[in-house]
Amino acid sequence: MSETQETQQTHQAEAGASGVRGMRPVALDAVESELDNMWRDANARIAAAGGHAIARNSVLTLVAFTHGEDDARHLLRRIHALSTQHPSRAIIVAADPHDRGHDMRAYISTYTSTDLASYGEDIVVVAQSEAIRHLPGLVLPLIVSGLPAFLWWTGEPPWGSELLEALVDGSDRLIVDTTEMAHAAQSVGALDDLMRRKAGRCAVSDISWTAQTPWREVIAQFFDAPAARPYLDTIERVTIEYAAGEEDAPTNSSQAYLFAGWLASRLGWRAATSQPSGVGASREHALRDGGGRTINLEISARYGVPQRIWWQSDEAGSEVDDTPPDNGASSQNGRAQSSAQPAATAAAWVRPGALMLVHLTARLNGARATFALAREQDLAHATTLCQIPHTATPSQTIHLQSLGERSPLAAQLQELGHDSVFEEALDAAAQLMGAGPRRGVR
Amino acid sequence: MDIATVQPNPLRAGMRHARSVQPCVMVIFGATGDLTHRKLLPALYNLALEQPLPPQFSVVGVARRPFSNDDFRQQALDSINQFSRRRPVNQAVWETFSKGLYYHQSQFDDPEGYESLVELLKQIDEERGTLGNHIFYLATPPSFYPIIADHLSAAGLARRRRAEDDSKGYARIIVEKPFGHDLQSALALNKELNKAFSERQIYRIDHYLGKETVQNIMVLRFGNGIFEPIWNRRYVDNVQITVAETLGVEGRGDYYEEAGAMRDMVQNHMMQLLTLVGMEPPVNFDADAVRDEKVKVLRAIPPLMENEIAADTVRGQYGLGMIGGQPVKGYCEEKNVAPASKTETFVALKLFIENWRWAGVPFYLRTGKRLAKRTTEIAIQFKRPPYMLFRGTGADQLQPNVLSLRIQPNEGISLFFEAKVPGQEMHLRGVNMDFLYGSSFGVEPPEAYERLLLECMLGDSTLFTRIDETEYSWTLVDSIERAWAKLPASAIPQYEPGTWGPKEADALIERDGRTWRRL
Repeated sequence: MSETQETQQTHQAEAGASGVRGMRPVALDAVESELDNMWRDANARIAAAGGHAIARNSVLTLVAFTHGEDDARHLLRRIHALSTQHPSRAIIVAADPHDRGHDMRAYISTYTSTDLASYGEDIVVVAQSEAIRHLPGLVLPLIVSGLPAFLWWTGEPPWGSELLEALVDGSDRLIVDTTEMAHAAQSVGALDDLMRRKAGRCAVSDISWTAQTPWREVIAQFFDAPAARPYLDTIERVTIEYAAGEEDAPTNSSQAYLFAGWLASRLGWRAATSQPSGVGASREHALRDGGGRTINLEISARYGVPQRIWWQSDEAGSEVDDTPPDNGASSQNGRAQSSAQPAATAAAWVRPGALMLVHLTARLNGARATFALAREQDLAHATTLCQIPHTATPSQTIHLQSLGERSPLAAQLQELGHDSVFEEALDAAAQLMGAGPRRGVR
Repeated sequence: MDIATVQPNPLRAGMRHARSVQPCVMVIFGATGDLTHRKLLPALYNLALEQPLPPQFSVVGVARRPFSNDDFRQQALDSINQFSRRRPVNQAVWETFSKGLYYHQSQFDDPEGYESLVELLKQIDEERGTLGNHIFYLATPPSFYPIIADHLSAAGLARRRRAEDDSKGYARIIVEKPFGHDLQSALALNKELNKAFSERQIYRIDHYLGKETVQNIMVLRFGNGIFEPIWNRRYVDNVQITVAETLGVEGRGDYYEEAGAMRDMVQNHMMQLLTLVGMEPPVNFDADAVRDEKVKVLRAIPPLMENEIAADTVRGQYGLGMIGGQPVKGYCEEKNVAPASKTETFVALKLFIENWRWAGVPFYLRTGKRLAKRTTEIAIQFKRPPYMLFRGTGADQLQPNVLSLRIQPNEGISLFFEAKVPGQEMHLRGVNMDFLYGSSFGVEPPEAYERLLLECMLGDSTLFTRIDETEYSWTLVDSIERAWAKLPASAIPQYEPGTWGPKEADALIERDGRTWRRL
C-alpha cells in the first residue's frame, strides 16, 4: 500500500490555522468533541458527493514523543505512511525542554486516502518546558479505550523521570531506538533496566532490533540446512561490522551488540571477560559456551557510510517505500545486472549503526565452515556466503527493504506482548557492553 | 546428512517464520502455460523477495516447446514484470533467484524425458544442495495427471511412502483443480495417482483456501468467544453463500462446456466455504484435524433426491445483453461453446447439513457468470427477536441481524443490527457495523498461490483438499447432475447479463419466506 501516502488528504486545513500547518487548533479540553465534529463534517461532505460514510475503525493508539514541531511533522508523515498496522489515533507530543514557558497547545486533523480505504486521526500536543510535567494528564485520557497503546519515544528518553514512568505505565509497549541515542552502552543498560522493572506490564522494544530482523532471519536460515546445523555448535569466531559516519564523530554500536546478544542468548554463550579489548574502531570480546569452549567476538565500526535518522528523512515514505533503489537500472532487455554494482546510489543511506557485515566461522572435526551476510555497496541489498565442506550452497542476494529493514515501526506495531527473544538478547547485549548487572545470559 | 536426525535450530526461536523451508526443487509441468506465468513464477519470486526462500531453492520448468534455460529465465522475468504484485523485478534479487531456474524440454508421456529429468535433478541436487527434495506441480490439462504421475513413478522420482520418512529427501505432487469430472473419474484419477504417490504426498490445490479472508473464517469463529455460542440452529435462520462474477467464460468455452458452474465453482470453492462455515471446532490446527471436521460437514449433507431437484436447485444460462452499457455475447455465442449448449452458467441450491448444530437451517448457495457484481460473500442470517417490544413497530417489520463475511472484493466483516432513530418517536432503523481489512490492516496480503506454495514446501497440507473431501463433494454434485441430465433443455432458463440470475432462483428462496441478500 505504498501509494497510500501519495493519496492521503487531510480533511481540515482551516484558513488562519496557526501552529502546526494544516491542523486545527483546539482547546485542550475539546479534543475529543472537535474530532467528532470533524468526522461528522467529513462524512457530510462525502455523503453530499454520493460516497459512503466512513466508519471509524479502531486498531490502536500510537503516542509519539518528540521535541519540536518540525519533528512532529516528520513523525506524522511516517505514521500516515504505515502500511501494516494503521493506527486509528496518533498522538504526537512535541515537548521542547529548552522552550521556556508554561504553554500547552493542541491541534487535530483527520485524514483519509482518496479511495477511502484507510483513514485516521491525529492529535498534536505542543508543550513548553514548564508544561511538560503535566503531559500525562492530557495524553493518557486521549488513548482510545480498550485498544493497544504504543508509546514511541524518539531520541533519548528521560530515563527514570516521572513523565516517562507515567506514560510507560499507561501504555502496552514502549518503542525506542537505541541507535538514536548518544551513548549506546548507557542506553542499552537503561532500557534493560526499564524492561525488568516493567516486566508483566509494559513491554519494551527497540527499533534497532526490528530493523535487523532480515539479518537474523538469514543467519538463522543458514543453519536450517542439515549440513550446516552441526556447525552452529562449533562457532569459533563472530565478526560484526556496523555503519558509522565520520571517524571523529561518535558511533553507535547498539545494533551490533544486540545482534551479538541475540547469538549469545540463543546459543548459551557468556561473556568470559568483563571488559573488551581493542582500540579505535574495533572491540574484541571473549565468550564461553556451556562446555567452556571459547568464542571470539569482534565488533567494528565501518566509517564513512552515509547515515540518516530514518524518520527525519524527507524521502517519501521510507517507512514503507518498497521500491528498490535500482529499479530504474534495468537494461533494455531486462537482463539482470550485477548486484555488486552500486545502482542509483545518490540517495543511498542507512540508519546509524546499521549492520554492514556478519561473519561467522566454525570448525567441526577439523573442517572449517564460513557463514556470512554482507551489505552491498548500494546499501539496499546484502549477499550471503555459505561455505561448508563438501556441500554446495549458492550465494543469495536479498533486498533488505523488502524484508523489513526500512519498516521497523510497522513491524513494532504488530507485536503486543513481550518479545522474550529480544529481552534475552538485550540483557546479553547490556552485559557485553558492560552496562548490565552481572547475571547469567540465559 | 540424514535430515531426520537434524537438531532443532535454536536461532529460529521467535522468528516471523517459525517454520523453515528446506532447500528443494519445484518441477513445474506445463511451464509455458498461463498458470505458470501468471501465478506460479510471480508467486515464487515474491516468496524469494519477501521470505526469503533458501538460497538453494530451484525451479525446473517442463514443457514440450524447445527452449533453453536462458529462454525460460527471460520468459519468467517478463512474466514477473507483468504479473507480480512486487513488479518491476528487483534486479539484484532476480540475479540470484534466476540462477536456480532451469528448463527441461520433454513430452509429458516420453519415458526418455523423465530419464533426463532424473539426471537434471541429480545435477541440481549436487550443484545447489537441494537434498533430493522435489515438488512436482502439475500445471497441465487434467488428462496428463495420471500420465505424469505414472512416469514419475517409473523414473523413481515419486518415492511413494506412507509414513513420515523424508530422511533421504521428499517427493510431493501438487495437482490443480478440477480433480476429476465426477465421482467416478475423481476416484479413478486418485487411484492412478496413488500408484505413484501416497495421500500424504498429494497436495490438491483449491486456491480459495489460500485467500486470507477464507482463512479468516476460522479465525473469526474459533479465535473469538462471542460467535461460537450463537453459531447454530438456535440462533441462525439461514446461511447464504454467493460467488458472483461479472465476467463471462472469457475464451475458456471448451473447458466450461465440460464443467459448467456446478463443477467449476460449487464442487470446489463453494464447498470449501460451506465446510469452513459449518464445521465443528477442530481439536487443533493440524492438517488432518481441520480436514476431519470439514469432511464431517460434507458427510452430513445428504445427496439430493430426484424429487427434490426441481424445488431445491436452479440452473441458468446467460443470454445476450448489456453490461455497463456494453453489449455482451450470450453464452451460446461464446467461442468454443455449442450453439445449443445445455451447460449452466448459474446455479442456485438449497442444502441442509443434517447434524446437531445445523438441523433445519437451510444453506442457500448461488454462483454465476455475468451477474450484477463481482462479489463473494457468506451471510449468516440470524433469527428475528421472538417478540416485538416497541409499540408501533411489528416484529415482522424488523430486519434480521446478519453477519456477512466478504471474501472479495472489499474484504471484511459486517454486522447488521437495528438501532433507534434519534427523536421523540420509537423508530428503528437497520445499520451496518463494518470492519474493512483494507482500513484496519492496510498491508497488501500475499497472493493465494504464494501461501499455498509455501505451505507445500513446509509440508503442511491443512490448506489443501484431502481425497475424502473431494469424494463427498463429488457425491453431492453427481446426485444433482444426474437428475439434471434427465430434465429437458427448457429447464435451463436464460437470464439477462448484469442481473442476479434467473427469476427461478428468487422463487427458490422465496418459497421459504426468505429473500436473497441484496449485494
